[in-house]
Amino acid sequence: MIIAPSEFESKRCITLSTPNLPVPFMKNKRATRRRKAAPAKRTRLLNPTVAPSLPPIIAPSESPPRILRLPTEILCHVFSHLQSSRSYISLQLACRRLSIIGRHSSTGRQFAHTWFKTNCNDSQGPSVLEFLARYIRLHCTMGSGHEKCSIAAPAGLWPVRPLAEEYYIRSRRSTREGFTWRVHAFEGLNNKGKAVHMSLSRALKQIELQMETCKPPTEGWNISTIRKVLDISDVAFAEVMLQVYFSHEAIAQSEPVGETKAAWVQWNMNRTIGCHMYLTWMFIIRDAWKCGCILKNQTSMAERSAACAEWDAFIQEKQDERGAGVMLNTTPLKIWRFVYDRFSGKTIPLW
Amino acid sequence: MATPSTQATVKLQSNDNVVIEVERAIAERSVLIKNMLEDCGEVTDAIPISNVNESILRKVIEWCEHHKNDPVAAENENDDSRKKTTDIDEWDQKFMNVDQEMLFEIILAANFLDIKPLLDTGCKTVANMIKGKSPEEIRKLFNIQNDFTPEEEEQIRRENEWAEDR
Repeated sequence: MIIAPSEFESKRCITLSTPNLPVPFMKNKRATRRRKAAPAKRTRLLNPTVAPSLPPIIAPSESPPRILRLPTEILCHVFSHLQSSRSYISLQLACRRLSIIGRHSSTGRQFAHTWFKTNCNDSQGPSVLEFLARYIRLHCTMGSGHEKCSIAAPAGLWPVRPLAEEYYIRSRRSTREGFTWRVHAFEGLNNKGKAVHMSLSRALKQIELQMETCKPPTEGWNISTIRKVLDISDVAFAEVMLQVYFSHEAIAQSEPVGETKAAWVQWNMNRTIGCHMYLTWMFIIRDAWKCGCILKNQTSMAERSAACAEWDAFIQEKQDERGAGVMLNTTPLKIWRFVYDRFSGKTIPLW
Repeated sequence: MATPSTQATVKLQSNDNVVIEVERAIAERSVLIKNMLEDCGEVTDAIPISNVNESILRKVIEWCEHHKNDPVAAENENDDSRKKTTDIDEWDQKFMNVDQEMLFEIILAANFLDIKPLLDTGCKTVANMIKGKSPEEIRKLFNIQNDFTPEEEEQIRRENEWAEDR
């Protein structure tokens, strides 16, 4: 049976206004009015062929709100399309069922996976994943891949004072209880009191916590195994990095020519936070810069490498100025390089 | 002898017994129907779509009609070269500008009929509605009742403290 548009319109009225869709918590006046108006319309337009198949009317008190009538797998799907970790947590806090769904590890992973896929513009070298992989390899606990990096490996992404290094190496060797590189490196950030510093530090702690319970994959960490452990805190981490990137880019762009971008950002950093934590900051900014460049979808591969090279050169220059004695161990970490293999169509890591 | 592919139209029957005739190519945006047609060859009877009522079915067909020439996306989940974006195109945005009841019905229908791009668009629309909202605002938006005990709420808040105050 094919019905004429006018007839169709009137039937749509019936379908939409059938009172089988109770709104238990709705306080909206318009909705109440519409519900009241519905029965009259229905008697007028009721079509005997349509009427018997109308779904049964459920008492308003028993019916959950519309969104909660969706099956769990679709709600997971909604979670995975959220734009930020904050939205994720807000949705999780709305009610008990959403909280259970959101807390399930597969939902968190699916969300992280979609987020990185959507926001990371590096199709040939998934460098943010690489960046996180570096974290996991270098900072996670014994038994979760950490043993693969040697005791003599450089102190970490953001090296601490040289005097403390011996102590750190010892503690890394003996126990890792209540102590990690990353948390230590960011302890100072917590004290800074700025929201962005604090959330960076918190996100890192959360990643650390996750890694405690994470079993290393049998085939070792690589680009496909790292993807399986990415979680909502990694998204939070990347988001903060992006924020750091934007705030420093804003400083860099607000100022006169003549200086390099890196030098200008450094000068401002020094002015606002003082020389305390200065060197730690340099590393943070460099890595935030790299992470931000990749996450910010507009930058090209060439622009990114230029920006990162500028930072690296700048750090090197400052270190040379200060002399080898007082300087940090800044041996570059092993960075994974990815090449796109034309034949297999896969991205493979090179050491 | 007619091959299955020569069949130009198929009939779909909604759960309120309305039969709608559509082009086969349009109906085949639904993987469920596509597989069914492949398995059964020529189908002259109306295909019952038992979970979907007429108005939603028409709405879904409208979407399929507009998107009938879209390339079918690769199904491989690990394929990273396939870019996903958060934006919904303008036509889809207008299409999804319906009341919540309709929106959720469309999502359910897309799930049932296995039309992944429509399901994604629907879920993205819901995700966009949630964007930037506090838990309380989300409850208001969807008429969700806060069923946490104060202790539970406090515990969840503590668990998620690391992501707050940004």
